[in-house]
Amino acid sequence: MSEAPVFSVADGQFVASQLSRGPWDPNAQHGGAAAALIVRAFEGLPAPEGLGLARVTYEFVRPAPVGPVEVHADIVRPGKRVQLLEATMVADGVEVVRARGLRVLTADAAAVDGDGGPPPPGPEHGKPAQIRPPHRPMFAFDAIEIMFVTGSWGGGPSTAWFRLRSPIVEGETPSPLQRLAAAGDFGNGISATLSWDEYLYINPDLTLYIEREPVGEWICLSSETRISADGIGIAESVLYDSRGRVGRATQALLVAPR
Amino acid sequence: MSVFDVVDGRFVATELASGPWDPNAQIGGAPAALLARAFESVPAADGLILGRLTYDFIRPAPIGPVSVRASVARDGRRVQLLEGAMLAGGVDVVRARALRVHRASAGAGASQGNPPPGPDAGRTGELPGLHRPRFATDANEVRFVEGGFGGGPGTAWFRLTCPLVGDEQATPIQRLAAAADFGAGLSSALPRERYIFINVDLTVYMDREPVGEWICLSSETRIAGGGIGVAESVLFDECGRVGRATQALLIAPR
Repeated sequence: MSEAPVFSVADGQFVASQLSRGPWDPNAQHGGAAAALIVRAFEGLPAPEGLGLARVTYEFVRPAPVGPVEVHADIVRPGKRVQLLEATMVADGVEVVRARGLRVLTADAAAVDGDGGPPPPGPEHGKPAQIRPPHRPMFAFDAIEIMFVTGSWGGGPSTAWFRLRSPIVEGETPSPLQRLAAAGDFGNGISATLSWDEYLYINPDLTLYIEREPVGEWICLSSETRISADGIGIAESVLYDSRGRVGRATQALLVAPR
Repeated sequence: MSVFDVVDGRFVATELASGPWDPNAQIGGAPAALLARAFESVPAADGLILGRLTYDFIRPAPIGPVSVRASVARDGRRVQLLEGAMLAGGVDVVRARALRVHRASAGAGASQGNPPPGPDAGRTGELPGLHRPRFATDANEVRFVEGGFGGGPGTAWFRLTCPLVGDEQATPIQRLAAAADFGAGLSSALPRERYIFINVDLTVYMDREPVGEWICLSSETRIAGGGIGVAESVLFDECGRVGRATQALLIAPR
C-alpha cells in the first residue's frame, strides 16, 4: 500500500488530498472518498455484540471540497437489535454530505437462505481501464486500482474489480467496509451510456445494502445504468468480494447536457 | 373506510393500517404511503420528480393518532432533498428522506423490461396473519402470478382498495409506497412460528413515476451466513418496470 493517504489528519481535522478527487471537478472529492470516511466514523460508534452494518444512505448535498473537512457521527436511535446512525461531512461550516447508517442484528446460521451465487471471474482475469483521466492524481486510478472483467469504462453494463491502494486515513489500514464504500460509488461511471464530453450523469445519492461484511481487498461491481423515458437515471451495482455476493449499491442520477 | 381518518385535523391510523405481527401496530406500507403523500405536497422546481424514498422504522407505529411532518432539507433547481417523520405521542416512529431529481434530458431508452403477466392473470391466495381487519387483506387486493405469500421468491400484484386518507383517492406514488413494503413478507422462506423477520427499513428507487392502481412486486429474500437478511423487489406498473424496493430484515428466533 502506498503511504500517501486519501485524507491526512491535521489539528484534529481531516484534509482531503488530491487522491480524493472525483472526475467532474478537480477541486471536489469523489463520492467514494467521502463515503469511506463516513463509514469509518460509523465504525467508531459503539454497538452491542452481533450487530452489523446493513445499510448506508448518502446524500451528496454539495460538492465536498479537496482540503479540510470534519466528520460528525452519532447514534440517533440506540437499540440492542437495531441502531440508527447519522453522520455529516462539513467543510468550512457548511454541510456537504449527509448520511444515515443502519445496524441490524446478524442472523443466526440456522436462518441462512438464498445463495447469492459465485463472484464474477477474479481481478487476475481483468484488464485495466482504458481511459484518459481528466486530471491526475485522482481517486480512480491513483488511490484505487480498477480491473475490468466485462465491458469498459462508460460502455454500458460492465463488471470491474476495485482495490484501494492508499489508506483512507493517514497511517491506517482500511477496513473491509471502508473498501466497500470506496468502491460502491463507481457504478454510474463504469456503466455510463452517455458521452462524458457532452453530458453530466452525476449521482446526488448513494445507497449501499450490505448482506454480509466483505473479506479481502478486492470489491467487484457488476453495474448497469437505466435511464427511463420521462424519468430519471438510476445506476444499480451488485457488489461482490472474492467469495461471492455481498450486497447492492444504487445511485440516482442527474442527467443533463454539460 | 380509509387507512387513515382525519379527526380534528389529525391523522388517526385505523385497523386497516395494521400489520401481520401485532394488531396494535401499523404495517410499514401505511406510514410509507402517508409520508409519500406529505412529500408530494412539498413544492419543487419545475421538472423535478421523485427518485428515491428511504424509510427507517425506528419504533412500532401505533394504531391511533399520529402526525407527519415533511420539509425541504436542501433545495435546488435540479436536486431537492426532503426530510420527514411520523410521530406518535410526540416521539418519532418513522424517519424518512426523499430525493427529487430533474427529469433526465438525454439517454432514455435502456430496456425497461415488460411487466409480469397482469393482475387479471393472477390468483387470489392466503395471506398469513391472525387478526382482521388488517392492511394486507382488507385494504389491498392481491393477485399472485408466481409463488404465494411466503415460501421463497414470488411475484404478485397489489392494489390499494380503499382511500389512504379520508375520502381522498390515493396517488400512484402513494400506491407504490404502500405496496413496496410487501417484499419481505411475499418472499420470506422462514417459518413464522419459529422466527420473526421484520423489515426495519425500506428504500424505494423510482426510474419513473408509476401510473394506474396496480403495482407488481417480483421479490426475493437473501440471508447470508452471519449476515443480514435483505429483501429485494423489482417494482412494476402495468406499463413496465418502475423501480426497486429494498428492505433490511431483523431476523430472530421467537
